[in-house]
Amino acid sequence: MSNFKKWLETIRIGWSMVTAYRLNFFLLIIGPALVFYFIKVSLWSAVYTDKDMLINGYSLPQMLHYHAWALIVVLMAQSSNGVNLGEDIRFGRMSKYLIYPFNFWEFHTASFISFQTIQFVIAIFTLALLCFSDLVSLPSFSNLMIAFAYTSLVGIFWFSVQYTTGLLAFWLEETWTMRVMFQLLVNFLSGSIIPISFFPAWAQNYLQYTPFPSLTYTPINLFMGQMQGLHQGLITITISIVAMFFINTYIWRRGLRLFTAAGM
Amino acid sequence: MITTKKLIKKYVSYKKQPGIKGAIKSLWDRSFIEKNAVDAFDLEIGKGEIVGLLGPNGAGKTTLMKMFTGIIVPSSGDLEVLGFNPFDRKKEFRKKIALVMGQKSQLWWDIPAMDSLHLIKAYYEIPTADFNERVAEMAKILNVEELLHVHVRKLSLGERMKLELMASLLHQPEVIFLDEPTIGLDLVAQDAIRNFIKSYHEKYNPTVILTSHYMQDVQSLCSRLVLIMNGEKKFDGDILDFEKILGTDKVVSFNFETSPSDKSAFEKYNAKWDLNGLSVELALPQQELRAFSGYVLEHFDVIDFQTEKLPIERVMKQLMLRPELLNHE
Amino acid sequence: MKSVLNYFNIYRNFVSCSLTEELSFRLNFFLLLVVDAIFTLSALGTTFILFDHIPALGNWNRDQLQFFLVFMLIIDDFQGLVLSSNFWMLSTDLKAGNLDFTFLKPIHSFLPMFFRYLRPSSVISLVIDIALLFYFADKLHFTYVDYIALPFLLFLSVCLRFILEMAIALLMFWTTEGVGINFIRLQLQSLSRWPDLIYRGIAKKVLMTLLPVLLVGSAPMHFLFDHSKWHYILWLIVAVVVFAFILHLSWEKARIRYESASS
Repeated sequence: MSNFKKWLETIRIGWSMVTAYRLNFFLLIIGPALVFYFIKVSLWSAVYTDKDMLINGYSLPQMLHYHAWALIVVLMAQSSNGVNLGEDIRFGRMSKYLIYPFNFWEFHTASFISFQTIQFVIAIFTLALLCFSDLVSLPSFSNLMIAFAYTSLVGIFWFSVQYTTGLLAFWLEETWTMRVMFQLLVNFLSGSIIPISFFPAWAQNYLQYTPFPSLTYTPINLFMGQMQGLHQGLITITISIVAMFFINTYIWRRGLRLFTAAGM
Repeated sequence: MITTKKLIKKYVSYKKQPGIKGAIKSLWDRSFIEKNAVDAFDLEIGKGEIVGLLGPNGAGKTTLMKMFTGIIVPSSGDLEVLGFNPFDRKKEFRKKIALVMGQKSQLWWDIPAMDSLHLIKAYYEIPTADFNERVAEMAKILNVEELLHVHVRKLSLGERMKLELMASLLHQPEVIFLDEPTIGLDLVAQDAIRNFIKSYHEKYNPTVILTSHYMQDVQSLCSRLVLIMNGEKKFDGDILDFEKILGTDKVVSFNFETSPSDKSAFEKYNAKWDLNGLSVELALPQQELRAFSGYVLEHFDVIDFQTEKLPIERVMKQLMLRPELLNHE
Repeated sequence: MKSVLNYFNIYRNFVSCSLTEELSFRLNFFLLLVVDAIFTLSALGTTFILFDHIPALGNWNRDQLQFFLVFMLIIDDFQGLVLSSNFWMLSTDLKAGNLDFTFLKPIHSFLPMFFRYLRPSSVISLVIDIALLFYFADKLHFTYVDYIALPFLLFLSVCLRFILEMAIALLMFWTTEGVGINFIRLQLQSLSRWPDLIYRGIAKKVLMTLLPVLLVGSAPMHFLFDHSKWHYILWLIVAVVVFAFILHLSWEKARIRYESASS
């Protein structure tokens, strides 16, 4: 079987796994939308005491647009949260990848693509709902495509991060701690809870030298038709992905040596 | 001790076509398959018996065990163990039973076994003096005294199984369910487990229900066999009767120095020759065993010969390959 | 009485086992502390940033909202300490059929199902959050009555949170795969981390009665900020009793669903 077919088959298995428990699948789909609706819409409607109020330049509809796009970005970019390679290592399922004529990274990357496609469909579906209920307005077609492409790149970044933390299972007993830590940090600092322009000036100043804004704030702005962060974001994310790639290769080699030596 | 009447356990699962189309389709369109894992099962087991529950994979043995222990609820039928309905899960009931599963572990993975034993002591409210005495006694017989303080994840399967057994018997249960207790163990460890169960039974006389795919387990421990296939009871009786289920012929095999030129004398005993004609397996009627064996030893250049050690193994194999044999009974 | 003692004795064993386990993984222990710290900081930071731009949320000022937030964080700490890890284990145990042994033990299965794994590292953030709670209480000029009522209110809120979460977790017996349920559980937690006054209409009614996650934090606040609203306490107590009963009923149904996958 050609390698391509192996990838395809792995992707298909991923689809079956996600949909095997249908209530579970359903909950995962509606969960984020529900939270958006209940928390974000309620919160900001309560914050804006009258209709014409502006907070830091945002009107209520603009703020809701911002958070609606944040939902889409999170749906598209953070699908790899479900990729759990740490467990493979921790529970000794590693050995099978050492025997298969299909590599560990190939398997997990294929699984990632599998989740990513499903999440993309869910994101489009959610977007349609948001458009329908007038919570977002679409930018120009070219902007939309650029934003989608950029967000997919962020998705690859997230996957490479999940991959690294997963690999740490060679040394750590639990890897979810690392993952949750990173997620909490990013959610707060990347503008998915509150737009970065709301942060105190000194914090904004520091943040612009970190990759955090590129992960959520920039793609949201792209979706809202503002292109200014694009170049910096592209450079930051690309460099990060390349760096992660080398780090992952290194960690994998070290870990594998440990694994094969100890026969974990 | 254990009584079942028309016991049924039904499982529902669904079919799914492979691939993305099947995955999406299965979200709303599911064709369900109902299967009786245990079907109209009648059984009566008395105090102190050791009963072997035999059957191929997926026959319903484990399902039956899990109903006996109250882990899963029967779909219909009557079930009584020690005068309790297991699924009521009365505490007095749970204190009197034990389940040992060769494929599952009740010991905590990341801490030494002794810590788990202390937890079990608390669960079953075992007095400290009894606890110490029982641990010491069992650890000595099983030869695991040194292992009690080692992290469980560092133990070999055989060592872990011995400790599992200890953990399950600490509260001196009246009924013990052993679900493939020797699975995956080496020959020495298997022997150790069997001898332990045997001596434990002699001392405390609990009722024991055992499932295993190793006929050696069954042969050395059980006096009574229950055969279950496709959820139905196919045989229930003495182990000696089970051996005779396919006839009373004894299976004897001979190995020869050179292949006998005239094989006609063997034909009527259902002879099975190997490819180069150097060995043969015969089914001899009991009354002809001595006469014919003597004849062969005298007239052919026999290197060695043997009668089978585990007749139930042959019977089991035959029945699993050709279940219809049972219907002629 | 004897059985209470016995349960206490079993629980002591859980504590010592979990502690042995957790301390043998020191790096993870440390990381858990970091996670807790980031969580607290980002929650408080969000309100700080928000109140830089607005004077009040509903009729609550910044101190009130932050007091509320710390109160919720303490409930999270309690939950992290005794309950959280078990929900994730329950999901894997259900799929692998590992509850068999839990069901066999002659004690109420909730004990090993929901309270077996502790996360001792939460004690540290619990201490920090309690200190923060006193800090904000002081800023709000709490009276003696408030300080005396506080532990009781906290107890009631923790009870309600635990009961609700356990009832939701039992749904895993139906879905088998627990990720979705755990996900929803976490989302409901984040709903309850905002005061009820931001919610409106049917959503609010549902979240205050049928699925009263908002009562957990908001009911005690309403009383503490305005003693004339003592009926909120009554409401909280009723919710605890009613949902404890619902939990009991669901358990009877759930255990029938258990199919015990064979390995």
